[in-house]
Amino acid sequence: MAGGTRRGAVRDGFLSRVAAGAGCAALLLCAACTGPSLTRDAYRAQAAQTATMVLSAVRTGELAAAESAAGRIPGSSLEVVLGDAETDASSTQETFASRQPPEGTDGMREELTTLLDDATATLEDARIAARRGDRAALAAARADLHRLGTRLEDFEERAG
Amino acid sequence: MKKLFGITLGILTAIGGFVDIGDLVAAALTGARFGLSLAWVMVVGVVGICLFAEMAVRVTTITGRPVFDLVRERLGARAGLANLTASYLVTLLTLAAELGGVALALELATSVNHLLWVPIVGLLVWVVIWRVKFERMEKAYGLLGLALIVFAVAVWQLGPDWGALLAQAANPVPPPDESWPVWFYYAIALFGSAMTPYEVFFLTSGGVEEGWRPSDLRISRLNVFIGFPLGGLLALSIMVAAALVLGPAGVQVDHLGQVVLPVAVALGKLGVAVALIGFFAATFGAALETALSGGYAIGQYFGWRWGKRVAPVHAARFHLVILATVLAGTAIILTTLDPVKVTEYSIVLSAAALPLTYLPILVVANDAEYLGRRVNSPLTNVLASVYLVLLLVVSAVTIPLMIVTRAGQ
Repeated sequence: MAGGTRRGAVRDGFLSRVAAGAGCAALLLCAACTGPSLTRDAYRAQAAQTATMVLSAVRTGELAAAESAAGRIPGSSLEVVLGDAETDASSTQETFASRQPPEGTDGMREELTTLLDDATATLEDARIAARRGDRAALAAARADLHRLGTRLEDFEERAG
Repeated sequence: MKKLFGITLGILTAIGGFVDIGDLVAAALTGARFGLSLAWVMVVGVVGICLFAEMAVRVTTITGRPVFDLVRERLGARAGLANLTASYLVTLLTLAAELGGVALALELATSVNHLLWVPIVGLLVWVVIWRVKFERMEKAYGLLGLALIVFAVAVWQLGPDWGALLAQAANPVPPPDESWPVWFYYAIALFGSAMTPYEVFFLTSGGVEEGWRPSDLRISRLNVFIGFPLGGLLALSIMVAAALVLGPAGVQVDHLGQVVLPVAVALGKLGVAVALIGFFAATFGAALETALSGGYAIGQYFGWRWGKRVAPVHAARFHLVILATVLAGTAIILTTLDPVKVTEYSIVLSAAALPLTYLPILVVANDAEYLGRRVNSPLTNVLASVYLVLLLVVSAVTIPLMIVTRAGQ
């Protein structure tokens, strides 16, 4: 009987440790999914870095489109360069979206989210135009990328 | 012309060491991000690899044996095993990245996803190693890799302000918006890529394949003193091209496709086509080097018959190791790991293991039993000692810097 009680106590202890471990793992998983909570300054720095990274993708797309318009880059290379730029912008956008914004940063978050959405969509347009060989659409996308680049630079300066 | 063909082993080795997939991207990345403030690392790297590679080829031409074989004999099985394990793992990672690099070059030329090319590239690498003679292989890929000179032509065509470039190179400090730890992290990555251990193993094993004798000491030294500076020059021209075009445009380099953009700006489609041939040859050559180096290192450690000069039926275990290494490299890159990131990590990890390779070479190069009167001169020993201190510092700070800077972010 006593042995049974001890076994039961041991089992209960084991179960509670498992439950605690599972709880910790769940918390860690949630934290990993949502990204860490940041201070306002840290969030601002993260936003500036995000803008820099997407600006690089936007400038890459703009440069590649300009070289294409001048007939200086083969179509196959252009498609790959634009596809990579689009993937970079999209993954940066997802990473930023997973960050928990601290209070008082909603305006900044909204502004950057719009810029990131526009950048991803415009790079997508450029990639589609390149694959279709649609020069007019590619030229339009290039002009949009230029404007977006200027807006991102402006944001980067204010946030950095 | 005969002399040019005589140094193709050094050219192939240096191209693998200086402009493989990771270096192509790292050189462009550092040029775009830091201008020419890290150009000095190329010089330090070229001098360092020339110093130790000269010792290694001297050992091989005098003894007729590759360096790894002598390291094991001189330092014992245990130290040899530590060296073998570290260098083989780094070489395997590098091979995986090179296979991915060849596939990325093919993707740029065809726009077919690189993952579809990876198995074909793995098969091609194995077929070339199995069927093509060593000399033919080294000449083909060594000389084709020289197509990367197109970057130097692009720099000249861009008409830069040479004085401003020199001023940048002579001011080795990070740009105002970059931190010192990140700058040092990339300095170590560039240094590690210049001093990659498999370069000396491949060069000396290749020398044995070519049947170098003491009378070939001059040509073996030419391989070192022309091949490695040439590799460094190619990497430097990629860095300068990126500093001229990509940096001012606000482009941060992460992909091979971005590396080619300065050539497009300067030379148009023809230039891009030549650059793509250079990318293919350099990464394919590096894949051959690393796959063979894996077989050389293991074969030499265990005392098997090894080398392409031996018929495969008489060197079955050597060829089996190469096949297994190519298969493992192909499998690693098919997991969808980014080849560029794989090389970046392999370069940094190899930087951490550099003393394991270069200290034994220094010990053997000072052993009169092997080299007689051809042992290191006092000046060589002083220089090598300075470099060994540098290698120890680099190996100690590499991993902490990687963690602190989140791999250079």
